[in-house]
Amino acid sequence: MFECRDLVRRFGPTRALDGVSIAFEEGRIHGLIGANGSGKSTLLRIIVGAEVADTGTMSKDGAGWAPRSTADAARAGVSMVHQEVRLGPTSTVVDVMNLGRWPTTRFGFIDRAGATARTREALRRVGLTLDPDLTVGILPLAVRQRIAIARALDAPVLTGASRLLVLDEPTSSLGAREVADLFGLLRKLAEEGACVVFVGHALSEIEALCRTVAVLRDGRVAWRGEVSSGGRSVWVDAMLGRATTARATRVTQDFGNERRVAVEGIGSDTVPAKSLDVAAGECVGIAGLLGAGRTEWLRLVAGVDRSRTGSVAIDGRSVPCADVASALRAGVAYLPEDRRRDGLCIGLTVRDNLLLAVRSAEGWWRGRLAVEETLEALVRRAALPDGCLDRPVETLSGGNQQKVLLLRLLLANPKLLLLDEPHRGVDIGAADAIDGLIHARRETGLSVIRVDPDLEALCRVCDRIAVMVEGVFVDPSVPAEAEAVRRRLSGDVA
Amino acid sequence: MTGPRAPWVLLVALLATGLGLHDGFFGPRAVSVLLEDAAILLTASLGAGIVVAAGSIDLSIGSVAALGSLVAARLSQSGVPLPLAAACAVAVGALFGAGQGWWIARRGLPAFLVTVAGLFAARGAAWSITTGSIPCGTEASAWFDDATYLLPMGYRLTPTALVALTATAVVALWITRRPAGRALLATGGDAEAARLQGVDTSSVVVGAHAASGALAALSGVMFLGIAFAGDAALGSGLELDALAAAVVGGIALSGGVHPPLAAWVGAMILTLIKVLIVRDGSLDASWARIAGGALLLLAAIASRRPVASSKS
Amino acid sequence: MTPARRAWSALALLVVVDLVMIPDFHRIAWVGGAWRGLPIDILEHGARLCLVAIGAALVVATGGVDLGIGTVMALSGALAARLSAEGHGFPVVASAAIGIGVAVGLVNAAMVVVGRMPPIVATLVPMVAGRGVAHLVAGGAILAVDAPWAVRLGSGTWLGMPIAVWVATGVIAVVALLLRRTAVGAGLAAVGSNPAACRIAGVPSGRLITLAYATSGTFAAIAGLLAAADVRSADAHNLGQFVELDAVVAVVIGGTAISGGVFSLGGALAGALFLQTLTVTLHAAGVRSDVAPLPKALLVLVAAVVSHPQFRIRRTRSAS
Repeated sequence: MFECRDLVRRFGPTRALDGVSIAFEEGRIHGLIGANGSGKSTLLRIIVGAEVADTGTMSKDGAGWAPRSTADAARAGVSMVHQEVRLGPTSTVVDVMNLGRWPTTRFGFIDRAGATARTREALRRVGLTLDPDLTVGILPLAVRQRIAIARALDAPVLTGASRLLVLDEPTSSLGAREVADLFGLLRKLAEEGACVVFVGHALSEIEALCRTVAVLRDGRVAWRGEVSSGGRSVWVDAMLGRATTARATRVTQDFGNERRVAVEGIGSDTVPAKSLDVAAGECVGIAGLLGAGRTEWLRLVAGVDRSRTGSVAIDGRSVPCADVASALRAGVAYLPEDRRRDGLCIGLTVRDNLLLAVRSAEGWWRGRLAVEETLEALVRRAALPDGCLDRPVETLSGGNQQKVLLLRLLLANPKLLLLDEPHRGVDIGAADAIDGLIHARRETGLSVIRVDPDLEALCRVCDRIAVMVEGVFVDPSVPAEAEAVRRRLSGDVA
Repeated sequence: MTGPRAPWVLLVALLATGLGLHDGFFGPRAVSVLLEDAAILLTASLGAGIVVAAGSIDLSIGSVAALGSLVAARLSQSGVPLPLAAACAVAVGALFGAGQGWWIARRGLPAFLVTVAGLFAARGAAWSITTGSIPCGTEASAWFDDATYLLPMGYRLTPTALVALTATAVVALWITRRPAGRALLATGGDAEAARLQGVDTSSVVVGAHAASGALAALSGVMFLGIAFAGDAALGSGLELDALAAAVVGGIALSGGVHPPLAAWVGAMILTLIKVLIVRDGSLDASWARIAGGALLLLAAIASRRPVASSKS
Repeated sequence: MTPARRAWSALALLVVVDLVMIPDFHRIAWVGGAWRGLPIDILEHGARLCLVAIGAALVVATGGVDLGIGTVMALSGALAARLSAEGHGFPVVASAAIGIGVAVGLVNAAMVVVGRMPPIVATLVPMVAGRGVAHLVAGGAILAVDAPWAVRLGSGTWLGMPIAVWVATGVIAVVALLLRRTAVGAGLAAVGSNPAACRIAGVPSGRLITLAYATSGTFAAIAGLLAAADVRSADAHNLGQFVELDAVVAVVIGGTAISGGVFSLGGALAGALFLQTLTVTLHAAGVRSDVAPLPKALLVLVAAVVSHPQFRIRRTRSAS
């Protein structure tokens, strides 16, 4: 029995985990689901010793559980199976299986024969027969993942300790047959007495595989129970949140057949081609569960990743989607979901960050831009702190950083704004301010396509919702009502 | 020129060229001179290779070599037996390297800056011993003069060549057959992944820098065998030649790759090019450096990692 | 206090120490139509380091490093000497020397941008090969440079100040003005600060990086000309040796993070002058020139620790 109580983990002002209590029993497979940023990864990292909780306790086999490192956790039988084990580019299967626990001879040298034999044995346990001296990098992903599981199972465990295996989205790059094979293996392991925690986003997989399910939302457990007592619609509700209070009165507009932006068949080798029309001033939300492929598609439309097929047209004029600068000049702006990694230059001043997009569109050799004059007023209107223009962005709060990123795009006067989770890591006040900024621009004709894991928020600001399931729009025009979208997402509609 | 075999092919081609152009290229004397010529660069590039394979870099090698040569010379001059003096020098180098590794792994400072500081510090330390050179003890000089190790068929090895080859074998053995060697490659390949698999990555980085410092000092000690003296001006630019040799031998600067004999192959290639060009006589010796640069470029292109797919 | 101001303060402090410690430091005399004195010497000899430090600052700002600076100096010096000896005039000599600097810079940039090679290896290539080429250009000898332009550039004065100082000042002023008047400086910093974000924001990273390496090559070439003119000879082996490291040290002392991003030209200038003054000070203070590298090592470490991201954030947090 593995248990954690009231785990709290803060990152700056945000709480990744906000009092999580959960228990996993041996001999069963437990599902763990939640939207982006719900705290899943943090919880897993704490369980396997890669991170430490700020407060809260854990126990395993009746004793306290506080691993100091992943090696420490592995010795006690707790290990995480990553999607694949990545080591040096020349690492072989034997290397991967034995890293950190090589059998050695009396003089401290590696016992090659012993290591190879052990590797073969461990691989056989997960149903693999392959040459242990192969380079891992050349093997298919499904095989690499199986090797990762074999490695986790092969960890020498103190006597009496039970095994806890954590799998973080193991099926995301596997084909149907490989998924079936993996499930067979996991069931066998559970029968042998291991405790398996399975993190996934395909609800059908959770239903097929797991005995119990826990749903995380905003760092809390939103739902827990046996699979049989829940169901897809229950979990979708728990993941996305039920409407509690309406913060703003919503006015949706019906734009009928009017269209200003036409996205036609944008797709690539890995992203199915999709089309979407947006009217001037309209906000279209894209709803989908984690892994539906929303971000990937937005990036293609924005020209961030090379698109193989399709075109975007605004006012009947074609927009080049080959690179960001020309898309930007033609009026397409994209707000990435991870603002620290893909959005802001965190060490530079607010001014330099704000001007990044305009400069890219208009050229870096130009002297002072006309917009620079208006920066002070703009910053004041967005309620950013006074005098922040010449401060590094890293000194601002998360919400204000997001405002800077949004203002940067608005400064370039886009006609189509692509928003990928604009509320991520942002407090409620700033979230409303961000929505207000976007709304003001929509009145002057800005078209918006928006992705948000929070269905209520999405319905509040959008005129209609396009529902995406497994990379395809199953319905491009659902009324912006959470109930209707949920039914669509869980496939309950005839 | 791709794949781990390319440097070997090049080495064989160079040897064949040498054999074709000059009689007795493989003769006892020529081989002995070649190995002697390569010894210092070889030893230094062993250390550079280890550090690079661990995903770091060491720019202090040349200065540490000078420091090592002076420490050994001064000790041997004052009557300490040569092996002990050499061991002391190597220990000084190892400590110096470990110190740099500590700043890098535990304090998180950029390896480039720390080892540039190390470059100045070690050179300063060497110059605070002397600005010129220190002859080593008479006994040691006499020994260096006489000692050769006879091999079958009249081939012989000088002590420095023997030490360099031994060090090469030890490093190769360590990389392939010691758990620490495998942990080194894992750390260089992807430090975060290695940490999650239970490798103590900061100890690995500290250890790699200690090894590099020790080998750099050892290459300095070898200088005694050639000049019978330690020299404060020794080894300026050695760190870059060592780095180049390591990369030419097939060690990727992105880390995680270390063919067992890479440093040896790289150092031999660069030395052979120099020897061939000098022997040929019609070409200016500068062409050796130009060829070295071209090889470095080829090796760097060959060892690039594919672009990471832009997965969101 | 901004890092650049910290560097200028350190320089000022050092100058004050010198004024107290070195009796003749303040004595600047008008001799034969020119100013003479220790501070003038510092400026004259520091001009080259200032130039290459500015170039290095631009490269470091983009998250790169240029190890080829010293080699480019040797190349440009050797080429200038050779052409000069063959009887070419200054315009030909100067444009050829600067041309070779630009060319090496472009090659470096191509290796980094198109070849996606780590900047350390990419610029190591010219560092290893370049001196070989310089030797060839010089024909394996130390060439004397005694053309009129060299005399004028090396020891001439204008308005009482050495020509080298004017050259460096002029070139640096032009670049500083360009960076200040346009957004290019901000672009370089953005590329170094977060390459992924720049790609998504549509910043032409490749072109900006190319500009940085080309500028660095150009400045190194000018510095090479000055160095050759200063000693009236071009020594392919020793000219500009280890200057690239001094340049990086000056840049780091000036508050530019080695990992790229925020940079300061003024800081780099202060760092370069600081290094030059330190050399003079140590010499005048009777510190054996042999241990001079030790204080430099200490300086690098202090600058590295102070400009360390964690330290910087803690400072800004507590300041706000």
